[in-house]
Amino acid sequence: MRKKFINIILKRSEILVIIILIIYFFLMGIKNPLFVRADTVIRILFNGAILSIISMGISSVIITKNIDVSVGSLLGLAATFGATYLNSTDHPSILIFLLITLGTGTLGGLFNGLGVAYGGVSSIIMTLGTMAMFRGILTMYTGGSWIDTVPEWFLNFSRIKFLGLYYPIWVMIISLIILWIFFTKMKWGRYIYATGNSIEGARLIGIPVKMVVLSSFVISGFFSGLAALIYISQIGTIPTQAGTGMETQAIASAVIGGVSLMGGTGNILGALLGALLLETIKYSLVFFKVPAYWNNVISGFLLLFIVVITSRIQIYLRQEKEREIEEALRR
Amino acid sequence: MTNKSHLVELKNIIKSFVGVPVLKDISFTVHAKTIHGLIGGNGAGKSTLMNILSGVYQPDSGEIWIKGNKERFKCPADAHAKGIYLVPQSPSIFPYLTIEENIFLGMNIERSRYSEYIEKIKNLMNILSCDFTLDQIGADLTIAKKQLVELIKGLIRRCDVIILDEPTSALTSREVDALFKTIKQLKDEDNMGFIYITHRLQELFDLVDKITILKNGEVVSEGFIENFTLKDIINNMVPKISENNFAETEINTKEINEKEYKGEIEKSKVQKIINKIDKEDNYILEVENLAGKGFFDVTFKLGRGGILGITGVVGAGRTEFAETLFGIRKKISGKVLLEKQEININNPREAIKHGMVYIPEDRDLHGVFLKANIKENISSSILFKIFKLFLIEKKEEKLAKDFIKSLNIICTGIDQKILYLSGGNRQKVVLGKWLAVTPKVLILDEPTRGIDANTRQEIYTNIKKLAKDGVSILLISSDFEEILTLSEKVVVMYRGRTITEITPPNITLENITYASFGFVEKQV
Amino acid sequence: MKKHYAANYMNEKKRFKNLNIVKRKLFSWQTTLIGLLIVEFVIFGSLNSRFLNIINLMYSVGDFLYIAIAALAMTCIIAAGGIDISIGSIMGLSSIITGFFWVKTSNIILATILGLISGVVAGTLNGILILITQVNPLVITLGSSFLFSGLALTLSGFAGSTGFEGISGFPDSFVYIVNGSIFNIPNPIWILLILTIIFYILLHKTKFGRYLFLIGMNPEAAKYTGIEIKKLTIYNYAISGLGGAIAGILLVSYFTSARSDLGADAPLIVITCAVLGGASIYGGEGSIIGTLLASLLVGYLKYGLQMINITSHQTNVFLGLVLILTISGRYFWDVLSTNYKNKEAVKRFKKT
Repeated sequence: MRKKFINIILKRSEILVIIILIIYFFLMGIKNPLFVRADTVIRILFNGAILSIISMGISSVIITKNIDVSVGSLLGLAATFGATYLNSTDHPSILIFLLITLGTGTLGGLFNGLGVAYGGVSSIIMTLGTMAMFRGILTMYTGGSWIDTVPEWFLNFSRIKFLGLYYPIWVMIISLIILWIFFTKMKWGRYIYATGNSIEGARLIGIPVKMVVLSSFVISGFFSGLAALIYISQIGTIPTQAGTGMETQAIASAVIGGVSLMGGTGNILGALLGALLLETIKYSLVFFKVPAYWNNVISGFLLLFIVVITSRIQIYLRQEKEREIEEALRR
Repeated sequence: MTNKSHLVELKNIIKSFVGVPVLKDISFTVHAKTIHGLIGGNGAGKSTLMNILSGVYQPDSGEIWIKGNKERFKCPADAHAKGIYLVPQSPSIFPYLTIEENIFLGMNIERSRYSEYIEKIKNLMNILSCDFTLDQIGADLTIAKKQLVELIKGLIRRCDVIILDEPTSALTSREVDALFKTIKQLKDEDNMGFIYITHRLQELFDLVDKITILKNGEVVSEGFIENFTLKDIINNMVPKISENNFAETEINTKEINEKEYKGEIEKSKVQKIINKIDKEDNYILEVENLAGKGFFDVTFKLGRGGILGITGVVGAGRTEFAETLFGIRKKISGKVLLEKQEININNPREAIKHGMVYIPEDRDLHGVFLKANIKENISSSILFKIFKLFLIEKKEEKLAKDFIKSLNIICTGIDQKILYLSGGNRQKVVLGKWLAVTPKVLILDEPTRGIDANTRQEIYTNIKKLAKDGVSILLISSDFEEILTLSEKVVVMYRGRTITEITPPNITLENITYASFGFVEKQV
Repeated sequence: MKKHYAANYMNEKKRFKNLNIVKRKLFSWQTTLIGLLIVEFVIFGSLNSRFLNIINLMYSVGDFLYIAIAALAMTCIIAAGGIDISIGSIMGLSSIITGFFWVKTSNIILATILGLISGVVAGTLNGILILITQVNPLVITLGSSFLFSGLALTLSGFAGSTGFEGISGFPDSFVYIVNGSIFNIPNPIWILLILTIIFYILLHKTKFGRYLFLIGMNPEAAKYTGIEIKKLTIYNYAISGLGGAIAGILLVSYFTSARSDLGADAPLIVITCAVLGGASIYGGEGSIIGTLLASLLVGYLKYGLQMINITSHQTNVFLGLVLILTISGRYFWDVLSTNYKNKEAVKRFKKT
């Protein structure tokens, strides 16, 4: 029974995040019943849209056993380019705006992917490099100044409600659905998982592993661009350090949600829930007027705690299985 | 002329690795509705042949004909496409994909027919009495179940020929029965051919229709199973002693005797004399009923300065035993006595301190540091003994130079990286690395695998030398000829147990071969 | 037979001679770094003559001292096949702990020692977590970097300072550590020199350092060789933590104030310096001298670009590109040279 429970948690690690979320809400509810209400949830979803979208994108890279630390810088760059265009003419075309923002993200991801898949650079080095480059290009472009105005009509965009939910939340939900279908129902999604499981095994059954790795970085870049869209409309100003630190939070979200850095396992929903957990902690600290600096302590502790627990369980199960095999052979 | 009823026809296949011929002009045919047993001793070339048929390797020369068409396989996916599927001995199931995903990966099927396929898989699982479900992940399954999944993968792909490489090694007898039933059923109903590789010869009579026996990369016998007795089969597998090899050994021994080994080893001359007297009852290493992961009961006694050969077919648990003795794996039960003292070894460092060292089977992965140079490799085993805190370069260099000379390592100098050495020289470096700690017991695991004939002889000479000088040697090898050449006593392991001990007058290839396939009573 | 043997031997010798030349070329990476450094000096010197002012050059070492020190420690970690993202947070944590205890006890020596200890403890924690979870060090140190930077922020709150102001009011003797000079040579140079020598000996001249390389090259073989990987890994991360702490405390001395976000931007540049200096991210390679040269290269690049009015962010574009091109270049160089070697081997085979 206990083993069965552990097995379920291991296989569907997002359940662990949901349990932690519920416990967290419960504890906060004891402290102040006002915390537990629909408004809180909506606020968390609204605030967490950017992080969760980035986390879902980065998951596709992590599943292939790579990493992408350039997403924060890429978000900043895409937001800067997009916002500059919005300010540059009186009647900006939405289509061109989308093309610029999403295109910047996609191209950035493509560059990362080319370096990793075809250039022989390990993903951590490649994206550390591009992290600095994207940020540098951003400051060169703006000359180090902030973009502090975005047309009013665009700012209103994020405050438009549809079926009771703000539009960033809809973007998040639609992204989730699309990625979910991509990873569970489509062939290419399976290829991404297979490559992360075993790159040699994947090559042997004829999967174009280089293209798979490249595509995962493109996906990550595209979702950075998408997050940049929301960033522009939600925040309204784009400082030169926009998105700094986002990469570590996104990786943390994905790992908390069960996307293993060893590749091949975890799912998009987990990454989203991981991001929402971090966002919930952030929001609760604000709600209870706890100094913001506890934020990092708690998320860091939680990340380490979850990593330690799951890895210990995994080691335990592996030994258990080996013992079973051994006993079967002995008979 | 090729017959269309021949599912597979391999013609005149030749393949060699690094200049060593492994397959010498092999022709092999599989008919429809046939289960074809492919057997042979260690290194007979079974796996290589099957890897060629399944597209993992490409032959140096020879042709592959599938159903009357000549084919060339560049990769396993090509072979799959032509209806050939290899169920490997160690199944390659993606650990974090579900069984369903594992089975369908790499297949192109229309969405509309998906449920049809699921139905078929469930049907197969029923026949094979699988007790797992399609939504379990790969990591959840035992090896036996993974093998069943591999089998299903092959079957669902509408393969014409399925190659089963030792499928029963991890199965229980009930699972074996189910597997045999399924294979027979499929053969008759679906016109399929099976190639069945096994070390468990009794199975052949229950299952296969025809057999082909390989020896030293050649087909030595072929025919319907009814025409064979168990004795015939084993007799056919007993390897021949190549006369050349023995002649060479003698010459080489003399040459090297004169040239080298003057310094270090002379010291133990006195020891040598004592050894000779006491050899019979002076045991340095005694292992009693040792059990661990992958082996269940190992018992033997190793005399001081003796060479004890441990052999058996692949999968008999030899390496697992050696790694347990060396402290890499944990033992489960049993006793190990070193110089009459019971010892408990929990990690390699303790083994080294007791004077017991292990030259691993997988040289490049476990034996050497490829990116390091010769000096660094040789000193790596003994740094903790000869240096306190700082490295003293001169001392290290002298150590390395001594071994390069005494072991005749061909290199440009002590600063050369191991990466640029040949396999044989790499092995010599490993040998030097462990001789540096002046061991009492040297465990050698497949010391000459993939090494050219010349270097092989040199290593043999070195081993004999070492034994003469009082180092006790445990020689683990699947090369029966090697065992025969070197060992003073042979212990044979079969399915995790030491089943017999063969002493001098009886050490013959026949006896070793019989015992390694589990036939002890046949031994005279 | 003997003859054949001799011929074989000669062939192999010849082959190795060729290989040695290739090898020597590869080993000249440090020479390349020196060359780049000279090119850098010439370019900046011609753009702005003030750049070559020896006093300025010497004092500007203080700007990137913390990067260089952390890079030295990071070289040890990368050589052993690990990575430590938390080194920046450890800088912040140790600086805050030093400041905190300075405020509470007014004993700067005690405060400094506690600051250093905090770094060692943090590093040890990293090592232990990596071992018990057997998870990629990247994840563990990423998580712990949150933890450490959070703790630093929290502590700075307790010390009664806001995040941005930091803790100040350190005694002159403490400030002098980085801002003073001995024999007219600024202290940062002395500190960097001494630490480089210590790390050089540690990594290249001790048993410990050799073991780190061996572990980095092939952890499996290290296990089979009886190397105590667990113990050494913990020591290694503890040393990295200590390196971070030294860097953090020197930053406090340099800026005369302790802030929790000191060093927050460090990990990227630190890893860049180590890798540019010759450390392989896959483990088993690394050079303290190379790292020092790379740190100087990067440090003076920033300094020089500042002089010609280019902001540090713009330098990052250049830095990132250099990092990527270096690694990619090495990869293609490897591919090409292996191809060449294989072709040569085939030719030799055909001749005989």
